[in-house]
Amino acid sequence: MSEPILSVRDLSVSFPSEYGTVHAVSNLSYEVHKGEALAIVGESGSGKSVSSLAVMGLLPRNATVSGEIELLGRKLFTMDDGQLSTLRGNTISMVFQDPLSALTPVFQVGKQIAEVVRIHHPEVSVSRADRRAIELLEAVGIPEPARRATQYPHEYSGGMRQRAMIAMAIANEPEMIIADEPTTALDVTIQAQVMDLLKSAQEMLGAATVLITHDMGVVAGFADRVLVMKDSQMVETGGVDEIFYRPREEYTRSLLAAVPRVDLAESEGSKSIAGSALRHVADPAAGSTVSTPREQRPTVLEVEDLHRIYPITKGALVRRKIGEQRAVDGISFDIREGECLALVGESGCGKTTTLMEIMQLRAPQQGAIRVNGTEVQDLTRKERAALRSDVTIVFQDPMAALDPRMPIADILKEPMRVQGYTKERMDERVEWLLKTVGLLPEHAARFPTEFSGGQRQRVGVARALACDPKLIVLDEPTSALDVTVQAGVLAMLADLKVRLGVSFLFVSHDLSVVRHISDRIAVMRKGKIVELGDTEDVFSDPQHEYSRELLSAVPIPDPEIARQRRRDVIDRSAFKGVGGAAAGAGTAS
Amino acid sequence: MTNPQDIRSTGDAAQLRASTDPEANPVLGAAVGDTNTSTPGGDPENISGLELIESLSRGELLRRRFLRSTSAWFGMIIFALLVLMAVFGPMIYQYGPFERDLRNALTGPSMYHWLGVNENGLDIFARTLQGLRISLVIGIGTAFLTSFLALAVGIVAGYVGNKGKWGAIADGGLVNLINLFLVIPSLLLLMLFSPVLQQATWLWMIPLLAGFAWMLTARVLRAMTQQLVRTEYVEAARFMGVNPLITMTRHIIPNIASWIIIDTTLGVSAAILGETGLSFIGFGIQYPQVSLGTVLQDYNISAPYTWIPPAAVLAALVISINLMGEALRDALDPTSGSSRL
Repeated sequence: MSEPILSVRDLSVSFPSEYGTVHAVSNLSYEVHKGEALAIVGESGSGKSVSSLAVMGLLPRNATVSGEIELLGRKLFTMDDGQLSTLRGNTISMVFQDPLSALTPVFQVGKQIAEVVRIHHPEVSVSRADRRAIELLEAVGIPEPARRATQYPHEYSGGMRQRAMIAMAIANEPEMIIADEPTTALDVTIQAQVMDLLKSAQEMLGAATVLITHDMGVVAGFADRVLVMKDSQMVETGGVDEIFYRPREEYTRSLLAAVPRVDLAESEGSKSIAGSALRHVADPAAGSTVSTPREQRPTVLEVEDLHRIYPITKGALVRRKIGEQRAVDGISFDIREGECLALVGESGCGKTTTLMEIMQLRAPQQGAIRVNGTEVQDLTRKERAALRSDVTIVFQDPMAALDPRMPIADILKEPMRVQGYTKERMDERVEWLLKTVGLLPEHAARFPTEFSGGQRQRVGVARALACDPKLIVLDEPTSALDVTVQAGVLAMLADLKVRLGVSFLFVSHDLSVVRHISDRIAVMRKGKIVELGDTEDVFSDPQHEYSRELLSAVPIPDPEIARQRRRDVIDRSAFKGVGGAAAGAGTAS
Repeated sequence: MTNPQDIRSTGDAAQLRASTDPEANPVLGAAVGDTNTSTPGGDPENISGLELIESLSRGELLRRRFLRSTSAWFGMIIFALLVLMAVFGPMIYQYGPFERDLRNALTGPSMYHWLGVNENGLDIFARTLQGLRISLVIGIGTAFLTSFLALAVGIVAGYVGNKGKWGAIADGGLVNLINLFLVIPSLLLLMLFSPVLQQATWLWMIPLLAGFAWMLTARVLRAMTQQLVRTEYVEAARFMGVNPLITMTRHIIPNIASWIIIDTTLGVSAAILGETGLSFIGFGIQYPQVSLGTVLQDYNISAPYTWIPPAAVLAALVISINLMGEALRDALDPTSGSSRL
C-alpha cells in the first residue's frame, strides 16, 4: 500500500473549563491513504470535529494537544501558522457543516473561489482566476455558472452553497479533503446530490478524504473505511463492509440500528434496542387503528383549500405589487382522533407556512381551518384562548424553543397558567408530564442549558402535552438531533400517541423518519399536496414521481445498495478547463 | 460541532465533560456503557450525567468569571474606598463644605486642612467628599432611570413592531420619538432647565440628565427585542395564548438583562461625567449643594492643590466603574476571553 497522506498518531486534545479539564479527543490514531475515503462516525460531543480541526491546525489557543499529525511526511505540530496557511486550501481543504456561515456574505461567490486560487497561486491573473471560478462552479453542477459567480451567498440555496464550498475545496486539487458533516444542514434530496458530488470529486482528484458525520446512512455509499468514535475515543475501525455487515462493538450496532430504514418493512431490520424500540412501540398503534375504523372517529383538524399568498413588492415609497409567492396553494387534509398525519416535503415547499396558518387560529386568506369541527375564523377572543390548549406545537430546534432563563417547571406551567389551572394541579401535572416523556421529576428545577438536545426536545413535547391537547403539531422535531437520539424521541412520540390518544401533525423533510410513526402521509411540493395516502401504500407503491424521488434520496445504511445507487455527477471537462492546467501545474511544482 | 467556540460555551463544556470523561466519573463511566440498551420507549441519553453538571449554577459561574479578572478587583476596591469615604468622611472630618477659614485662604495641605484651602477659604477635602456624595447619588440615580426609560420604550417598540399594521405605526412613532430626542440640542436644554428646576431640589438633575440619555440604549434594546420576538420560545408563548405583557416580563426582559446590567453600570460613569461637566460650567448643581464639578469650578491654576484632588477623585470614580463594567461584560459574554482558563 502507498504511503499514507495523513497519519494521526496518539492524538489527544483537551480544553480547560470551569468544570475541570475536558478531554475532547484521547489517544486517537488513524491513517488515510491516497484516494481513500475514511468516515469518522460518532454522536455530537464525541470529539470527531475537534480531531479534524486539529489536523487543520484550527484549534482554539487554549487547547492542549499532544500526539503527532503527519501530512505528506511533514509533522504539522512543528510548523508555525504561516507554514500551515500554505497547506490549508492547497494541500488540505475543508468543507464545513453550515454553508451559510462558511461563505462570507459580503463577497460574491465567484470572488471567494477565485481568492482560494489566487492565494496559493499568485501568478494566476485576476481575470484568469475568475474564469477558473466559473469553471469550478460549472464542474460542481451549478446552472448558469457565469451569472451565479457574480451573486452573493444569500442568493444561493443551501444545496448550492454547499456545492460552492466543494468547488472551493477542490479548486487547488488538494491531496486531502476534510468534510465536516457536509450534509447535516440540508434536505434529504439535496443531501443525496451533495454526497454524490463529493464522492465524484474525490474520485476525480484521487484525494484522501475524511468524512465526519453522525449518520451511518451517509457513510455507506461514500467511505472505504469507517472509524467509530464515542466519548472522545475510538470504538471500532474497519472496512465499510466489515463495519456494516459484521460490526464487532455493541455501540456500532446501535448506531446502525438508529438509522431509520425506508427499504425494510417493519418485521425485518436490525436487532438493536434503539431500532426495535421504534418498531415495538409502533405496533400497538397499528392495533388501535383497527379497533375503530377511521371514518367513525371524530375529526380533530380539517384544512380545506388553504391558501397563503405573499405579495412580492418593489419600490421603497410606493409599494407596487410585482408578483406573488404562492407559499400554500390550496391544500386540503383532515386528521382524525388518535391519528398521525405526516406532512413531508423539501424546505421551502410550504410546510411551515401551513403549520403557522393552523397555529394562528385566525381566518386564513382563503379556505377554511376547522378544529374539532368549529371554524377558527368564527372564534371569539375567549374561545380562541381556550382552543390554544387543544392545539399545541413542538418546534424544530430544541435549543431555541425553551427560554434559557426559565427552569423546566416554569416552562411546563406556562400554558397551564394561561388556562387558569390551580397551583396544586400544576405541580401534580409537572411531575406527571416529566415522567410521561421519560425524564425525572427532579429535573423540574433545572434550566434548559443543563439538558442535552434530546432531553430538551422531550421537555418541548411535555410542554405541548401540558393541557391535554387534542392535536400536537410537530415541526421537524428530530431534524436537529443526532440519529441515535432521534430514535429515542420518535419512540417516545409513538408511545404517547398510543397511550394518550393524541393526534399528531408531523412535519418532516425525511420520509424515513415518519415511516414508523405516521398512519398517513401527505407529500407536499411547491405549496401543493401531490400525494396523500396511507403510509404503507405510499412506501410500497408511491404514485407521484416526486414521492418516488424523495424515497430514493433517503440514504440506506447498506454499502451494497448505496454503491449501486450512486451517480457520477461532476463535470470533469469543466474542471479540466483552461485555468485548470495552470492550477494543476502550480500544484505539481 | 464545527465551530471551536461551541466547545468553549459553558453548556457544551458541561455536556462534553458529562459525555467524555468516564474515568473521572465512575458513576457516569458505568452509565455511558449502557446508554443505548435502555428499555423501549426509554431514554437513549444518559440522565445520570446531569447530577454532575448541576454543581455550577449560572450565578456561580458568573461570580467566578468576574472575580478572575484583575480589573474587576481593582475597580471594586477603588469604588468601595470612594463610597466609604463619601459616606463616612464628612461625618468625622472637622470642617464642613461651606465653612470659611479665610485666614488660611489659598494655603496648601496642612495638618488641619488635609488637602488645603481654596481662595474663598473653603476646605478642599470637605468639599471633595461632599461633592463625591452628590455625584454618586446623581450618577447612580440617573443610570437607573435611564435604563428604565430605555427599557420601557425599547421593549414596547420592539415587541409591537411586527404585530400588524397598528403595531408598525406605534413602533414607527416610538422610533421617531427616539430620533427627535437624538437631534434636539440637549446641552442647551439642560442649561435652560437645570437652574430653574434646581430651585425646587437638586434631585431634579436626575430626571433631567436621564431624559437626554436614554435614546441610544432604547434603540439597542428595540433591536434586541425584535430578535427575541422571533425566537421559538416567544412564538411558543404566543401559541399558548400568553398575554403580551407577561411575555415581555417573563421571556424578553430576563434574556436581555445581562446587557441592561452592563449598560447601567457604564451609564453611571457617563452620568457622573455629564453632571460634573454641567456643574463645572455653572449650570449643574447650585449652592447650597456641591458636586465634584462645582469643586473643580473653584480651581486656581497656579495652586494645583485646588484642582488636583477633586479631579483625581473624579477620574478614580469613573475609571473604577468602567473597570467593573468591562469585567462584568466579559463575565456575561460566553465568547469573551474570560471564559478561557
